[in-house]
Amino acid sequence: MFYHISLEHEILLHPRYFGPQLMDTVRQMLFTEVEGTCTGKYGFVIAVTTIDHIGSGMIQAGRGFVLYPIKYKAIVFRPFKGEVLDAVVTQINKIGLFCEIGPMQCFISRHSIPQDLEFDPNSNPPCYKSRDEEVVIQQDDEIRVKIVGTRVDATDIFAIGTLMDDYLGLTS
Amino acid sequence: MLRQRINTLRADKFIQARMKMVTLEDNKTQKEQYYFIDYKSFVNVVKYKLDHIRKKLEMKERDQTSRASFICHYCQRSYTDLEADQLLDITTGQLLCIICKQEVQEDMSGMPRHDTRMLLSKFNEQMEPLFNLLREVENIKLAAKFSEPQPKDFSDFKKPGQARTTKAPLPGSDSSRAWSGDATKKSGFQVEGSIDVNINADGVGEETVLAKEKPIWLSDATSLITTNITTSETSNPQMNEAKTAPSVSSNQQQAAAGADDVMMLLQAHERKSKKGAGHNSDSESEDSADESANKRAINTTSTTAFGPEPRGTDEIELIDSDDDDDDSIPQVSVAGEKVAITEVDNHLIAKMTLEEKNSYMLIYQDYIGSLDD
Repeated sequence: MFYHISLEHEILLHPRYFGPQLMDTVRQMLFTEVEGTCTGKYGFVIAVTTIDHIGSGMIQAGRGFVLYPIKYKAIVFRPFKGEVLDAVVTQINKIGLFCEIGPMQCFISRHSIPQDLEFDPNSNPPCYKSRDEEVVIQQDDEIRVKIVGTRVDATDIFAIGTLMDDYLGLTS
Repeated sequence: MLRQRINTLRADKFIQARMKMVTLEDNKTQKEQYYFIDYKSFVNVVKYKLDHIRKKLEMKERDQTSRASFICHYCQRSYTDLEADQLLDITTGQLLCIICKQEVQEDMSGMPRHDTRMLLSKFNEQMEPLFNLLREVENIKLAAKFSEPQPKDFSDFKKPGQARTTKAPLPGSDSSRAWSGDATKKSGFQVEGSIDVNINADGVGEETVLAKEKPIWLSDATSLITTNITTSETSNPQMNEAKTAPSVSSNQQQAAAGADDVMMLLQAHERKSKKGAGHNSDSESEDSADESANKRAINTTSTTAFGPEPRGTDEIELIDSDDDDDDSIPQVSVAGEKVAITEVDNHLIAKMTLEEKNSYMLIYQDYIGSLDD
């Protein structure tokens, strides 16, 4: 699920950036440091939309680095169990398939793939396909999955999904 | 043993209990537990339990997906599905043990024996009759009296068959729609295992529908129904007696006369075509049993509406004097011509002169007033 929330971050800036472009550099550093990261609490930070406030920089004693507290708004992606999402298949093997839901990796066990789809190791690339070959899931295909579990680390979220429900499976 | 079972059922909310303090003959008070089934909550409990079963099956499915499904045969370490990303070697596409870097194998011991989706569909398949029943009873609303019956004395329960006959639901009444009403409930206490909750029991439901399809008071004139009723009454002396009993009173004659007036007025108010049909009432009275039942039902209402029912011979006279009734209808003049007040329509009113219109209004008011009486 996507959220638009207020977040806070601190930028530690090297003295070499001091100059007329200082604030631009601070903004740029916020984007590079925050976007694409993941926190267990809020999920993946997709994009910073607005910078609400850049506090006055505090020069670190003995170092010369400056610490800028920043309040900003960002779009975050936090997956939940039971959520249905679109994914891109990245890897297929006999035990299941791996796919990417945006920045998140998701594994679908072969037991969570409908039984009419069988693994074909001989095709290039390997795929899961139905007997009449009407449905073929291979690398780079778009599929719709349902999240059945998540593992949330401090800096990453991993999900396991299923294709065993209505309207799940190949979308492309 | 029985108490144990009852307590189980009570805990499951299948049955409900009500306690009553009873004073015995020796002035000792005694607690009596009365158990009953609140059908509405019973249905809800069934639905609730089915939902729980479904949820459990779904949970099982979910559990099986997050089980430990990989095992490294070298270091005997097991991994769950959730750790699959850590095991994946992107270059080869194989799942390798984090510690010993050997390929892990799927742990077949924890595998689901068969497809869990099949389990759910099997559940749906097996419970289909129950779902159908639930769907059938969904819109049935029972009277509060039936859902939460008041405890009755045991003496009442010990008279078999009595409750059923005395409390036979009237056709068309609301109680006839609510399963089979009190009658069935009480019979359940008398005969073990005979609570047949059948909506169409005794054909009551069907009869109600039939009555709806052909309401006699719409298809036939009121006066004709009355004549039909009287003829059917004469053919059924038992019924006649039953009806006569409550109507025996000192002012019977007077009331009968009053009814005659009403009848005359009613018949005068009917369309002429219907009047003609009125003479065929005898043949109509030989209709099917269902219709006569309907007529009897209407008879009860007409009795209350007309007061004490005039008996056979009076009624025949009434039919004979049908033609004479036209004389009682006041007439008004329309452009100099005399017309019965019942036949005056907008077209004729338009033809009236101002005086004629005034007099028509007065006569009409009197006429309507007399009808109301």
